[in-house]
Amino acid sequence: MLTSSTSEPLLRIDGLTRTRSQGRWWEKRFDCKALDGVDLTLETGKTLALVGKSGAGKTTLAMCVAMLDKPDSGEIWFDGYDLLSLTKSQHKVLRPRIQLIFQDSAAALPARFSAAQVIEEPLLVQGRYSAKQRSELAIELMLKVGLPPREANRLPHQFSGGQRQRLAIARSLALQPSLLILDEPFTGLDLSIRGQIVNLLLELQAQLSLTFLYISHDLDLVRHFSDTVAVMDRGRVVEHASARDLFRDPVHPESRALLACTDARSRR
Amino acid sequence: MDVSGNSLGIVGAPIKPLLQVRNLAVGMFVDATHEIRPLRGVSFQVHRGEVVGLSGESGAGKTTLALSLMRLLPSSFQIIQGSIEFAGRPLLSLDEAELQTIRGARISLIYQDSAVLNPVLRIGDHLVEVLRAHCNWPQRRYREKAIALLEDMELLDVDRIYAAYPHQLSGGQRQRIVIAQALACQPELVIADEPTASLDPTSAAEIVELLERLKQRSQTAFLLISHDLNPLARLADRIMVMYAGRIVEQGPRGEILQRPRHPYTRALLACALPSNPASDLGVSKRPIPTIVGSPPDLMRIKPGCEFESRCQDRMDICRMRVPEEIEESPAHSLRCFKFGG
Repeated sequence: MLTSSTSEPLLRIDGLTRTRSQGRWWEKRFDCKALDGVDLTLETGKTLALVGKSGAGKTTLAMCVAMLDKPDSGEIWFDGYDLLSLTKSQHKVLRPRIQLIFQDSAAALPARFSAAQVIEEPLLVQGRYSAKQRSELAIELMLKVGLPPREANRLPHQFSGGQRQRLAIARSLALQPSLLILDEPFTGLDLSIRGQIVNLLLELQAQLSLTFLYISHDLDLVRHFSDTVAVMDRGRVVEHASARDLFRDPVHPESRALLACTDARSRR
Repeated sequence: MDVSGNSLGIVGAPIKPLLQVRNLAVGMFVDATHEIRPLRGVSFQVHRGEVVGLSGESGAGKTTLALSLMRLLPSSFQIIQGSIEFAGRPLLSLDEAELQTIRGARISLIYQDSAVLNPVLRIGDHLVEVLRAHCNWPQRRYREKAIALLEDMELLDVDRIYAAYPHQLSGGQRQRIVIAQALACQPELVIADEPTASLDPTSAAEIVELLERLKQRSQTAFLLISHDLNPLARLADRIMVMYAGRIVEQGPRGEILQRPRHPYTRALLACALPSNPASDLGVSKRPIPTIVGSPPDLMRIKPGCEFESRCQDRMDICRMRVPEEIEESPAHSLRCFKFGG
């Protein structure tokens, strides 16, 4: 599961820049740098957390990695391929290997699909396996994420929030990805359920040597969940350190400000 | 407004509580034959100037309780039994006109989501609307009061904000407007339903600090609802923990946080702190504490204690009947057979 540190990291981002044109049609337009020269690396089987205020560029960065947004300049290397200059056939092979899990699972899952259909859909789109193999795999994935297979015919809204998030995880695992992008996957879950989902993802990571790019506001969880942390502010990564070092000794003022507000919250 | 001194910390007979809820039960018909009970026998009181925190998982009945106190329950909900007494008046037997003089003026509600702001009204109009509904003032004075309220909310550049539309403000600013609306008529009781839930941690911390300062400045009592224990730990004088429509434990903040009794409260507190900053500085990818299972489905409630199936300390009796409320100390009570029931 562990890769030696000399090998190429799974994900390497160099000088990534994304400019957005802002202002409404009656206003003068101006350019806003959503990403401004971001460099990051992420090893196989590890978790990189992106933290920062709203609007710092965390989601833009994740969307560029997921190939859902095109940066203006810079490079994204994923497992030896440059994601920004892929041929069509490479694209088809690589895209399934990067999957997303969102905050609001109720909105992210197709409302009229049964649980089994939700999990099978990515396989269907990719044209993988026969119908029988697909439904077997769906059952297997449901077991893996802790959903009872007898509930395979239920619709997403008939599950509780925690179970829906499990379903979203099962769906994202269907194509055997290497990189999971987790955009605030625990927000909106109750405390008692949040822990179950955290533990499930940690378990799956160890089992399947998954790599996580984890976007979060909750620094208590970041401390617990990730190996390295990148603090973002106005499109730049201002500090990138191991979670241990960052929480012990934050260097950049922005990191300090962020940590100060959790310390204040947990003061009792 | 009658100001009868701050009753903080004073427990017992001489001062009548501002809000007294007795044995409140609310039912809701899912269809013609199925009825669920979002609230089942809730009793508590709020004294003047006191901040009472209410915590629990989603579906525990927190919002149903808030809406019952405002008499704003949707028509599919029904109050089955119990009484709500506010400043000596029985809220449940008032008619709509009488309620109108209380709602927004003497009891007000801070909503969870600042989407309650009307997108086509300016911020100033939102505040003036509340004031005009409850005070009969000359036109000029509404604006002055609205500007003063915005200043109280520690907003900068209040004249610009007065004329702005909701979408031009940040989430934290919008939440401050919702709070300003609730406080506009200096109510005696403010019910805040998850006031920080939709905000990022930086703005959430600022809102908590603002509420802390407002609490010190005013005589207003707060019922602060939050599934997150952190804001309650900072703001509340007393904390109530709710599970499946019942208050399972209530007591002073210090006792609930440091000496929780009920197994659910203890499990909830263990989940709240995945890593203790003092003892564990390292990266710990160990499993974090959770409560096994999920909250009960209100459609399939069994006899006995609702928490029984997830409880670490369950006994045979737990499956048979619901534990009575017992008093641990004068201000601290809970429902659990382990402590007598």
